[in-house]
Amino acid sequence: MSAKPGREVVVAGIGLHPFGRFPDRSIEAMSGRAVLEALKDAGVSYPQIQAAYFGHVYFNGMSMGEGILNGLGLTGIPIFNVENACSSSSTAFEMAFWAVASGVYDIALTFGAEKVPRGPVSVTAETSPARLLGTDHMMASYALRARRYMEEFSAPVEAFAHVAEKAHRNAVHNHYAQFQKVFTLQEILNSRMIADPLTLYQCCPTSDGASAAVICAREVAEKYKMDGKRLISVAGMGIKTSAYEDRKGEHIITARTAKEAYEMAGLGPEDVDVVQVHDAATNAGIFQLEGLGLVERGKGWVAELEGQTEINGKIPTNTDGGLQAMGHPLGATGIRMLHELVTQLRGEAGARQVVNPRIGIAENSGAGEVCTVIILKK
Amino acid sequence: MVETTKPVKRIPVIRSLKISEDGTTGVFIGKRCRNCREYMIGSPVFCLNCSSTEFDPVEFSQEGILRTYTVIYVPPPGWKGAVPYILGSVEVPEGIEITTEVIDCPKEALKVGMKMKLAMKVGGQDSEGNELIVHKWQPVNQGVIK
Repeated sequence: MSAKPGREVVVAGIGLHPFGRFPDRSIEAMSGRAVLEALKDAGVSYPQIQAAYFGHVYFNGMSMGEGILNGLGLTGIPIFNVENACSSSSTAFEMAFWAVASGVYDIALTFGAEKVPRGPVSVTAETSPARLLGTDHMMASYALRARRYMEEFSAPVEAFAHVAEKAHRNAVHNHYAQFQKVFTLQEILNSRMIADPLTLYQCCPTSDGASAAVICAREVAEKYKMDGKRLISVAGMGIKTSAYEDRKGEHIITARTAKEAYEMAGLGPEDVDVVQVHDAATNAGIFQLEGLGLVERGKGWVAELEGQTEINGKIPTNTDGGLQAMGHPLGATGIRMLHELVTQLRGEAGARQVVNPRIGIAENSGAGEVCTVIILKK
Repeated sequence: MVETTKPVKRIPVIRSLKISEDGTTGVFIGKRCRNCREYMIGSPVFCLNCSSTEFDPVEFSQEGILRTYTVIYVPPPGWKGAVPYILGSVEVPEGIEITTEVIDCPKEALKVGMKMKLAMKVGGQDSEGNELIVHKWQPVNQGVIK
């Protein structure tokens, strides 16, 4: 199924609250900052927004989206609260897209925020047998996949560690990132073992943060007096959950999702200039490139070690630091990825700018499983 | 003889595990779809592959092959066992992988392709003092088969 939007939709504004640890700052305050930044970037005011879609994971009272946005004015718009694990805000973005593309709304706000508790993230409820079995361990599930890949393709652990090393090098140039310092390959490999072969610095941190984007129909951008040169087109997207066939191999879900997004955009992996993947653990930073068709299955680790994923490489990936260095406030991550793609496509990424990119792709994974793939076009 | 205390019951921690009364042996129970012939652990109402509701009951093999593993040094919340511990995914002949703790195996001896067998252990107690039985994987021997 290849979806056909009724009209072209563009990202008009983006905003972020820095990712990191902000114990004294509320989720409302962080979200508010990201939303106001996105509104300002789009050149619109909150009363012009016709609908809002909010992605978050942890429960912090009912209707959190309303709780956050009511502080900007009681405009009476529909506000949708979306929970889809780590894919929550990219899911919210896709829902907002379809509402605007189909003509229900002309302009919508989509945002995500989270304050993630410290320590390992659990997927199941406290009463789940998985707790007693010791199987509810997010990084262990990544480690099991890492070991399988190492066995099948003779990949060295250094290739995974390189994903983190590169991410941190990129994030030095990103003032929104949780970590803005270089880590050597040895520091990453020698850090505390979490779930073999993944060391602490190969597991993304838990974080606080917020992200936001204003989208609108291209045909109304002029009415809102937006700067046409800074509008980035939403060219394609897909969202999928687990299918029975996924168990027959690795990251088939990503390939299924990407196929839908590429078809909708009329583009293929060969057209992509800048990439965002969900590197919650370093090995996923490689696997997802294969899932997106950007490298051949089993060759991702070679591409990583050859430098193909560097900012000046063939497939520049996680140019802002990815989950590894940006941090991972679950509900905020999906739109954070789009924030970086928009920044890159506008040519506003400064020291981490890819040379003249035209097409960007973002892959956002969530427990469930969920996968979203979104393609943006200059 | 008069019983003065309530006998301790042994309860499998997941419903798809059928255990002996003394809790020392167990087997996974499940279903095989009559339409597409796929195997499923537990008691699905609908086939996960074709949504059929016609099944035959099955008991799964108690041995399989280790496909992947990890050694966990930082355990998840709620883990009461020793640290580090090993998690292994074992494929049984019915084509399903079951992931749980690997016991009685030094981590240096872990090898993808090892033959593993199911072992039942006491994983904890419920509020009434009953023993909760959990399943583990245990190496059959040190031999490796592919």
